[in-house]
Amino acid sequence: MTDDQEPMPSQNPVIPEGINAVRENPFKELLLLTTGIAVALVIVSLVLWQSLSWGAKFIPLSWEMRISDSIAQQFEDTSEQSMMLQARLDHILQAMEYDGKVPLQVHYVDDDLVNAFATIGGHIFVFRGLMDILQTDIGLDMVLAHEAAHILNRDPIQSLAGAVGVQLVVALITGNGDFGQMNGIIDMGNQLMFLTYSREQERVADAMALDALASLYDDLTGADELFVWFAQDDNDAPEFLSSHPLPDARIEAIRNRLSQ
Amino acid sequence: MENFIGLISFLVLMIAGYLFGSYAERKHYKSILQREEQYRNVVLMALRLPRVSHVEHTQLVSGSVVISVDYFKRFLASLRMLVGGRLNSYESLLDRARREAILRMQKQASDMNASSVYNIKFETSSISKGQKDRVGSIEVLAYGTAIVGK
Repeated sequence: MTDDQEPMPSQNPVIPEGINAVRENPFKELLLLTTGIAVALVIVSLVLWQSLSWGAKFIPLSWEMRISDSIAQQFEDTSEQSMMLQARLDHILQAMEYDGKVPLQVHYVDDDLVNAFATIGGHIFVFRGLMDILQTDIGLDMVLAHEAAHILNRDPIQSLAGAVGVQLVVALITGNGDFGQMNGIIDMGNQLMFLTYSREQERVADAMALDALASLYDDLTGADELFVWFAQDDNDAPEFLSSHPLPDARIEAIRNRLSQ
Repeated sequence: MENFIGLISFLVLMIAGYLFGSYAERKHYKSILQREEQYRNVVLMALRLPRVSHVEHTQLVSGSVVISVDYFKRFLASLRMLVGGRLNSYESLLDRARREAILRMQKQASDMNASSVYNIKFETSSISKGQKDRVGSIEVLAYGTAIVGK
């Protein structure tokens, strides 16, 4: 020990609080972080959803078929109803001037559900419940033409691509995403059945269907048969309505068309 | 249903983590401040060589603490890690751990009537290193050379 050194302190200094650890309410931080991240998440999802839905229309229909074939095989049948529906669909497609490069297939599903839907790969499914309700040919053709229009407009793949994009963001953030699922879209069987379309997509599909029917029938009366049924009986509707909203508005649009 | 159960258990864990965690933290800081006052005379020096004469003997003293992060703090930190910035929720935890480790070391020194502890060092090691979804816990070890004067 040398003399020029300062003396040894007799006790430890009091170190001010709040330097190494800030004492503030953690709820404030939680609120700030969750809202900030949620907003960012929504924006990223929206951008991804929009850009993927937009880009999906450039995927050739023949590529879609590769994804959907394994599912469609389960429904392959040669029943009388399927043949009848297929014949009607082919007739309608001619009226729509479809080039027929990729075959559109219609499948009859023996189920009470009042539903019909189009999904990727050019497959249309029509349920027995729906066929029981439709009494007229034009009513059934309207449904088939509407679903065919969705496929020709590439609505199913756009809807699916958007949904996959959103799922991807959610999986990235929560960190428990099963990325294998992204390859095997087959796992998303449910999703393929309940693809949802925008009102605009529905409106365009209705208009295309009516155009096709106009060239097949002299009188379009009764084309709105299904929507009228849904408007009357809304107890039975939710599942179908989830993908086909606003029957009243659509009846009105069809009636407008009829009066022209 | 599965999602609902997940959400409920998340909320329960968050609330429990927050309530127990903040209660423990308040109580601990109170105790830390009180004991820091109590051992203020056991002088802590980072110097390697003691500047005191009349040394009777020297001895290694150490204080070790193992702490675990609660669910609330961990969630807060996982959100913070997405955007960057100060991990406030972990800082207070580590601050408590370091100070507690020093206090335990000071108690040991005080028990042997030491007037000061020199050459103080810290070691920190993670116990649940790299294990996903495990609640993180770390050890903080403080050690130094206690000087017992005549």
